Amino acid sequence: MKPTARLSSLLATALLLVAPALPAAAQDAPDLPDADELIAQYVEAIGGRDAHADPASIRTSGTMSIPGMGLEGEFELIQIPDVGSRMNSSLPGLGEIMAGFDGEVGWSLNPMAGPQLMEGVELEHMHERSLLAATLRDPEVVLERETVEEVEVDGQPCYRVRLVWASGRQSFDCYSTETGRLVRSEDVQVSEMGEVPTVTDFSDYREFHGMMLPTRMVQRTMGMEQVLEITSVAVDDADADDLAPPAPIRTLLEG
Amino acid sequence: MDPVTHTLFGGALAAGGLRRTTALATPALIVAANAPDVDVVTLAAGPYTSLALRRGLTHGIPALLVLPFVVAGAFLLWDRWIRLRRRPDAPPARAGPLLGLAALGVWSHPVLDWLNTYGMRWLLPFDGRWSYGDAVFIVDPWLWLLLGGAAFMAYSATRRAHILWGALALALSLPVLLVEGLPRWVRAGWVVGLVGVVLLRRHRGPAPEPAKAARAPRLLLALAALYVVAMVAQTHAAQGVAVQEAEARGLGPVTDVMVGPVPADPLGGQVIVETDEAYWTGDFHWGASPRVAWADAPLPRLDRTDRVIQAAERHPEAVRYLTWARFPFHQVDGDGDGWRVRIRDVRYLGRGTGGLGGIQVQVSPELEPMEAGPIAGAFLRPTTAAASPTIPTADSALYAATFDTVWIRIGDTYYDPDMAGLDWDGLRDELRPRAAQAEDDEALRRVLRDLLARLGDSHFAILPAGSPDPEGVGGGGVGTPGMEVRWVDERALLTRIQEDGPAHRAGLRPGHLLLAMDDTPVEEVLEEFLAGLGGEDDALPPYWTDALLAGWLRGDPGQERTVTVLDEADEARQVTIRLEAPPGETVRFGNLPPIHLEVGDRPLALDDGREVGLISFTAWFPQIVSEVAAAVDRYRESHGIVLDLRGNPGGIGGLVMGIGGHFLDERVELGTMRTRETELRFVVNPQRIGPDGRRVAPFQGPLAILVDRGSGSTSELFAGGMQAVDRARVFGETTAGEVLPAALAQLPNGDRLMYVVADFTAPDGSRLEGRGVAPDESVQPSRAALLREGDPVLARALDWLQSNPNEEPRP
Repeated sequence: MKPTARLSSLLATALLLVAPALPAAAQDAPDLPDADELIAQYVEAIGGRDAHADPASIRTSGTMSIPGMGLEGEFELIQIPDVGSRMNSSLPGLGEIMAGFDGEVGWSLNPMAGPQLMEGVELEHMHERSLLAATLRDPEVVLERETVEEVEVDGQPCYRVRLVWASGRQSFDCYSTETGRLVRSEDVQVSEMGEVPTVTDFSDYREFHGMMLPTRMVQRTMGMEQVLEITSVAVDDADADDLAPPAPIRTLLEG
Repeated sequence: MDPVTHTLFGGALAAGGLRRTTALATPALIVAANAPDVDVVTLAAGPYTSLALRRGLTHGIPALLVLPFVVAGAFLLWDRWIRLRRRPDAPPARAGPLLGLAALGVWSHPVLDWLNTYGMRWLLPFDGRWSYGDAVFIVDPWLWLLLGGAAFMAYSATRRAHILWGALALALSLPVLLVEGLPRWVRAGWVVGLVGVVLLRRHRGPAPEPAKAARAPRLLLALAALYVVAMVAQTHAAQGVAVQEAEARGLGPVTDVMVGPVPADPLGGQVIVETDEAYWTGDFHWGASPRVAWADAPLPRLDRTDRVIQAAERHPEAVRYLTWARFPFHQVDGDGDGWRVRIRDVRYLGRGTGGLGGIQVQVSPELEPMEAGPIAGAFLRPTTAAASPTIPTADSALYAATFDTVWIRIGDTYYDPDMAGLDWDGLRDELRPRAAQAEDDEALRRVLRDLLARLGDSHFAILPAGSPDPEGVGGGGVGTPGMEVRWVDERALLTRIQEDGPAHRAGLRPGHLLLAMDDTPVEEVLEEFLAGLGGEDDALPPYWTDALLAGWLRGDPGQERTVTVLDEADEARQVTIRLEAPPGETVRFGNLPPIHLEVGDRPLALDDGREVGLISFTAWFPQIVSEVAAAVDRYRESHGIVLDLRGNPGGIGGLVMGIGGHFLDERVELGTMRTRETELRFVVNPQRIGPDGRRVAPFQGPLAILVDRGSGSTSELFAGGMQAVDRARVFGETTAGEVLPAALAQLPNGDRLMYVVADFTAPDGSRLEGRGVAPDESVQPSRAALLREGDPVLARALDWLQSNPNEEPRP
């Protein structure tokens, strides 16, 4: 071996061993993607438009808990796209809590306030949320959309998108940079009591009848955390009659 | 040492004559000298795993027995299969010498590595103890110069070699000449050394005899060895000097010391002196007097038996980091969601935020280690003012963390973002040091209560760990004597007696005074309870005394109590009462303790014969809703309703919207709850559906609400709201004035914090907090009135209903 060859191997060996200690080059922050693209990716990521438009009804069942208070119960949600929805839940100690919208009448029934009809903005929002177009973030109900930043939700990077709805309310979605799925929604629940900011985290997506649905939803409202976990999803087994309000509400409607 | 030094050492050994022992001698020496660093691949498993694994298995004695065979075998294979096939006339490498050279190269590696402060584990996997030479900095230009000079002598025969050596010299000169802080003589010495090596090479000539060719490299190798021995010796001497100067300063008994090398300056050193209480750091120099320049402030050593620190050290990444750490230095910060524990090694303070730079572990409020990773933020050395040389007590970390938890939790949740106009950050600066230096738990509580008192709201309290629950005193069972006792004018007054209950059957009546139970005087029980709370009687809400007495009287159903009372004739009377389960039911609501709920109602006749309904319930929970609705329905056609909320401490605030709807026919607001984020209006939902499903109108007759100082929270919200909208007339005493929604949080020291999360205002904008609901008709409990009327509060309400027969219902 020539001395120069030996010297080359000497230097190469030294540099090879030094290399792992060199710092990685810094990466530039990526540009924010267009909100329309994110929403299109989101729709694909949850199974596509057709998968959500096909079912005549969706019946979702699962558990509901408020860990901070040690409450755990069950819920059932019936959705008839573009018509309405009804949710029944029960929590030990709190009793039956129900709320629904049959396309015209929005109502709630719970032990704290009793039977109640919804009016005004609250009813308008309930109607808007029942639309398939709302689930898919279609332009007919989401008039403005804008990607505002990249943030992290539970360590998962996502793009935060501001939405302005036809009803005038504003909300924020956060779409995973990796999967395109919705991982967080920031909304405001409006009722006669006032406006309550609500943050909902979505996770553990699973496929049900072609739809990718989050099976775990953690909702935080005024410092209280509520967890919904879906255990089953059935389609096409409910109709508008299942959205009919309970007797006390019907009595109220009869005047 | 760095790879350059190991490589140059292998080259220098070859240049010193070993290259002639066999073919492939030089590359075998160089590769073998670096071979133990194959553990660099552990970096792929993360910095802390790498710290735990490196300088271990591939550097210890077992590996040193194996690696030479691996290196020599690899070169022999390469020689036989590749090299000799390409050059059949070349002399073959000899196995024996090759193995010897590989062993020499491999063994040189840990010896050189041991010289610095990083450490070496010679006996892994049998013994994981670290050993430290503390003599030579991990990157040492003098070794580069001597070892590189030796190799340069032997491998610089061609122009190309000169160019490569020149490039290497330039690359190695950059840090020596440009890094800030190195003495001038070091830079000058480096340049002189480089020139000297070149001159030595020129003096030796281009192609000396083999025996002569090895002289200069051997001379330089000998100088390198001499330098290393001298550094080891001076380090040992410097450690002795540092210990002497530390003890002379009164830093306490030294448990460990390090005078580690600093870059390029053989006369300087980095001093770490460990005592039981702190790390004292400084700069050592043989040319200075005194030799050690100590840092202004020590780095306190926190108690590693502290629960928070122990929780952090359980995290697997922390375990790995601590496997390597020699002088672990902990810093603990508390926040509303637990603690942040930062662990650094004093040897490498300021060397980044991860890996060598330290680890940060988040610990949950339940003392479970959560996330771990690089430390957020650079290390800032404490100043004299911030880190007193006074050694912290064992509990200081815990106390500081407890203070931080209180300060952060309230700062995050208090309804007023302006913190009632207080300088919240300033309060932390003022009180946190006092908390950290508190002598004991009680001293800490005084600091915390000082903080809470600045806000001036109720529902803030520090509840000592293990302090008695006012309702848990006594038997703690559900059995009751059927009487209510109130602490009035320093006497225990029987204010209400359950109809046909045990006390009633024993002949006790409202207005009697309770003197003792089972031969224990009432005053003695109160004193013991206050002692359990640290004598902070001023902090006790008034109704706590009543609750204490109620708890004291309770026990298991069937249990007998001997009660001594002063009766209406002012004579002491002793009766035996067998406790009974109270009417109603005990229910659970989530993780709250079992709640006893009782809904009662009975018709009362006014003097003119008209009927009114008396409805009472003991707490505001959903389980009462249907019974209250049924009771209201029973008296829907009555002249009036009396709603008795005396002793009702509250519950779920939202229930006022439904219960209020039984008495209001419009969506009237009873008050507003304001958190930092939003406002919630408690709007009544008129109840127009009866229990049987028929449509009804809310009750529109006169409504009287009875309250006392035991009426709290939701009861106040309801009474104050109904009073403010002019729907009810309120009778009795001013309520507790503790209407603010509050929550409980566990504190690191085991105490509990009760803290306010929202404000509440009545419909007229007034705050009920602190002042309570003032009754329209005040009726104070007195022995005389109770003896005369039995229930003077109810009597006044009935008088009002009697005298306002035609009052129009008001929305």
